[in-house]
Amino acid sequence: MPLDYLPALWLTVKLALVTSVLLLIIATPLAWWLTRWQCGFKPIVQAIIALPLVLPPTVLGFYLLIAFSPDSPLGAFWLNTFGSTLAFSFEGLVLGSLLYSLPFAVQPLYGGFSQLDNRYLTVAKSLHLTPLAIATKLVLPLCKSSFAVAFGLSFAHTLGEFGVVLMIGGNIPHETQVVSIALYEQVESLNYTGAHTLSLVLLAFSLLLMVVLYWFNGKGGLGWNSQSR
Amino acid sequence: MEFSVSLNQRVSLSASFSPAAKMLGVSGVSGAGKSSLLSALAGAEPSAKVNVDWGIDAARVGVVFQQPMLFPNLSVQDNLLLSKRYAKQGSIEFQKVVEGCEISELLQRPVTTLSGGEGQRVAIARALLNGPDILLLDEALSAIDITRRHRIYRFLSANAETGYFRCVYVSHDWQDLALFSDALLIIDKGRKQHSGMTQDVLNAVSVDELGSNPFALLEGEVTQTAEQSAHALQIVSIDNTPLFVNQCSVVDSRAKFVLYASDVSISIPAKDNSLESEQSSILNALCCEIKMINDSEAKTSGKVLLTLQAGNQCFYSRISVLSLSRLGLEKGQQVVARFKAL
Repeated sequence: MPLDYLPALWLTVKLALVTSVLLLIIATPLAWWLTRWQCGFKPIVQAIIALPLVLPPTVLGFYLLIAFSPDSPLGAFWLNTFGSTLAFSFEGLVLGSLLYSLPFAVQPLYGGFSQLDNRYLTVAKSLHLTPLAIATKLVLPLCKSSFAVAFGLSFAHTLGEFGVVLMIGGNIPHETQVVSIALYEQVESLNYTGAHTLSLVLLAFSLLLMVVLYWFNGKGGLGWNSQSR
Repeated sequence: MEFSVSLNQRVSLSASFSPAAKMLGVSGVSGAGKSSLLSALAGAEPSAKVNVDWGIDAARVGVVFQQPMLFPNLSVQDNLLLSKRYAKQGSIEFQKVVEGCEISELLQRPVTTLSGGEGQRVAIARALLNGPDILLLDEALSAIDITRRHRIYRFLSANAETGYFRCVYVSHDWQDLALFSDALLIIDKGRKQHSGMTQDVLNAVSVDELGSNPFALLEGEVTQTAEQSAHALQIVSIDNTPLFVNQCSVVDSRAKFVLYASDVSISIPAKDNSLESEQSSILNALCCEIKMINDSEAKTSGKVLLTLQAGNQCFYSRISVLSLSRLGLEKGQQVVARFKAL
């Protein structure tokens, strides 16, 4: 019986993994730019990025559903390019999750980059380090805990996704049926044994993830800050 | 070397210095804008308007802050090697820098275990290894003890003299500024107060600006170095009088040392004018003339400040009003200034 849930579990992990990797790639330059950008419009941009934190996921899901429809420019472009619709597809879920979890990747990185003492960068530039060397030898090691937190939080948050998935993905086994949706279905059909199994798996996994995150953050999160004399 | 810097309301000044000035000292009271000036010269102030001619095309500018800002994820050695990897051709050799900054025993240490002074030495070494044409030091030696600090200044000065780089250093310590700079820039409230060759600036700076214990910079010929002598003191000749000196900077057998007013006592010469007749632990005695007696603080502190001249060099002595009257000192009188080997 529990083996029936494996596809949903695998799909959830795959979605979370793809989303968090893509988010690190997107959020790193975005957060870096945001840290350095001084402009009156900055709070507006910050607010837009933070919006998924407070917006009911169904609202986000609804707008995404509209945007994914072949009538909209994005939906039409996708259909023309790839020959399939975005709605009710794994790719659509990834796109939705990216938006939904964006603040969970951007905010830790923004925090880490803001705390990075500017004089490290001044010194590194005065030593003629290349931008790549500055990124890999300095920023990445000094902000590694921020990167870990950004990755972990996006991963965990995508695991817990429900409303957005329901709106844009529906409940297609092997394609869009993630654990949270499968759980909902079990409850709907009054299969409480299955619901218990899925809930427990999600609960245990999320708890483990958060413990690892806090352990990592507590160990390294303040490390470079207290070391900078 | 000349620059003009304008940074918000904090700094607005321009200054130019002779090409002979390899070591430029910058000073001023706290909050005068010294750090802002250096930061702007380092190109780290985006809002600053900086116009600078270092006298070298496409000059590489290295900067060291009071806080060493060593990369904490790397060991001391890896910090140095990283800098070396991006160095320009023909910069100073690794071993020479490590010895000059006295960090041989620190190489394997993690950066996080270094004390403030150790970190500063490593930071200076890291900057030097990169081969800067201009080295900006923002109180970068402040946590190093005086003897070692002077050795490192001497090392920097010698390499600047060789033409490896020019150094602009901010310091609060008048002795460091007087001993090791060729030129000085004194700023106040972000504006230039004095600038020029060191001795000229020191002459222009009023006694009040030198603080409660004014000093003079004396220069003389080294007749015996500390290494040659049995007592580890240099012998410097001023006005044909041999003086024993401990802390000094020597360039081409010319020695400079700083003499504080509080370190100088006055005595009346013996009838036969012989200085050796009396025994004292105070090694130095210099015949001089009282040029001025400043008693403006006599009422409040009970002290007067004498300006003395030996040969063509002036220096100060701070003595009590009581001594002044007991010895019956007057302007124009010949006296003997005595001070310990400093």
